[in-house]
Amino acid sequence: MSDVVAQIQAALGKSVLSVSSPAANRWFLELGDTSAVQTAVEHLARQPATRLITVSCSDYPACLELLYHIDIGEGILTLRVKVWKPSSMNSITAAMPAAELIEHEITELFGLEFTGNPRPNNMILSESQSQLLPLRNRASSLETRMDGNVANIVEHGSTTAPSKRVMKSRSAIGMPENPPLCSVTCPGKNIVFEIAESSGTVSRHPNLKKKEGGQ
Amino acid sequence: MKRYTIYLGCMIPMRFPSIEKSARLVFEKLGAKIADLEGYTCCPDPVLTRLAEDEFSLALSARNLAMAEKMGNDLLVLCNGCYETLIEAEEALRDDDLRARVNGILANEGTRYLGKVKVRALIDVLNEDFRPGEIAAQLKAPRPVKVACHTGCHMLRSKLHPRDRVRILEDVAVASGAEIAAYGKELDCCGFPCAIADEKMAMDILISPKLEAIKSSGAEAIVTGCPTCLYQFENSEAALKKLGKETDIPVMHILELMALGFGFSPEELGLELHRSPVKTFAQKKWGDVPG
Repeated sequence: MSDVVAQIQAALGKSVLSVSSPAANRWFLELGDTSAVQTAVEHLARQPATRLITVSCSDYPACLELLYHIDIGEGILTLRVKVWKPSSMNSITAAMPAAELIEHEITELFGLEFTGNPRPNNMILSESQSQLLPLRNRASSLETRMDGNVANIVEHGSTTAPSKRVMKSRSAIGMPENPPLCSVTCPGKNIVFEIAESSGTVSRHPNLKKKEGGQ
Repeated sequence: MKRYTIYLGCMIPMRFPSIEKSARLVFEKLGAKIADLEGYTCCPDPVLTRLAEDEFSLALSARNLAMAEKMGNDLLVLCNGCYETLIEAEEALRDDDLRARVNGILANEGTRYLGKVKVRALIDVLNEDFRPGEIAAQLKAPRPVKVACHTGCHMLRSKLHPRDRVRILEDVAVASGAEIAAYGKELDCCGFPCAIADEKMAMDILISPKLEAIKSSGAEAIVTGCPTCLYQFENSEAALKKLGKETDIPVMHILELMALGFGFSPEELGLELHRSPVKTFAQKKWGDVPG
């Protein structure tokens, strides 16, 4: 264990939830509250040969996770902390001025405000794009759409089924109400379901059900 | 006589039957015979399903290709997205081992893909097999219409330079009687895949600036070869209208423009399912054409 890391751990007391060292000269401190970051950084800034490398951010449904990667001379220490949405974070720029640009980048891309960051203007997005938050995770809605699409294809053989209005319009211009999809031309068969079953899709989507009488 | 097996996809027959109707009328007028791919499935869609389930997707594509292969004609794909899915599947399935594995999935149905079908995009068939000259020769009701062309991203990912892709669509539009409005954002995406993840971002960064550029160019209509881009443009126009930003530009498929130019009436095509004012626009321009 590094002396510096041990000192930080002692200074933060119960705010340190866990300590790990997956490799020589590499330490992770998981912190239970955001104010502990500032305490740790102020302590580290007083040490010789200490340098902020960067701060990375990940978006989770209920929180943003920040990782402060700091070169402490004898290795790299990462402080890991969760910021519960929609709260803000205290800036560490007073102790480590290099954080100014990184914090602002996180503000623009993830929407996390750093109280006390002196930078007034956006660096990446225009002011009119400030609400876009392009690195916020939208995977959950995307996954829902993906699941829905797969389910529709298994059920209808297509991503959508024709509405009554479309069927009426098709008929009015002299076409059959339904296009020649397998659901229409292969009655009584579960062709798509069987393909989904053979390719492992059914086991990954437990809600998919074989339809009585085919697609 | 030129013969094709037609792949309709999902969006055209189930959202825009006027495009399917136009395809049937246009190819008949051009002297081509088209046969339906009876019992086809979704291609499947290149954005969501292929990302979620690659082996299932490839097997469905292979099934569609195998059915087309049995019919012996080139597979004429009307939708850009379906074209990308099917051409990429066709290329992937040239690998003997992969094809054998996928054929194993299809074995229950007794379907087997041999790797011998030619997948072709609508715009390529129009440009290569008929040439703009043959298309122009069929014009019965040319009208002075200034259009902004939108090729769509799925067609840009091909061996041709993107600018050539844009030019091909413009050439077909011109042969159909239109004048081209250049607007400078021809290669920009319609925003559809982006909107699945973030509608606001798609609107602010992609679709809104594109529609504004089209409006400023003096275009009377947007013409595209992609039904999904068409859907995206129309829905976005409706959303912008609610925000007080009315653009009101009719969005047409190239086949609808061709069918109208060939002398088919707006009523024959059934344009009422468009959310943008295509029907009103067509009636204004081609309303005198007898049905």
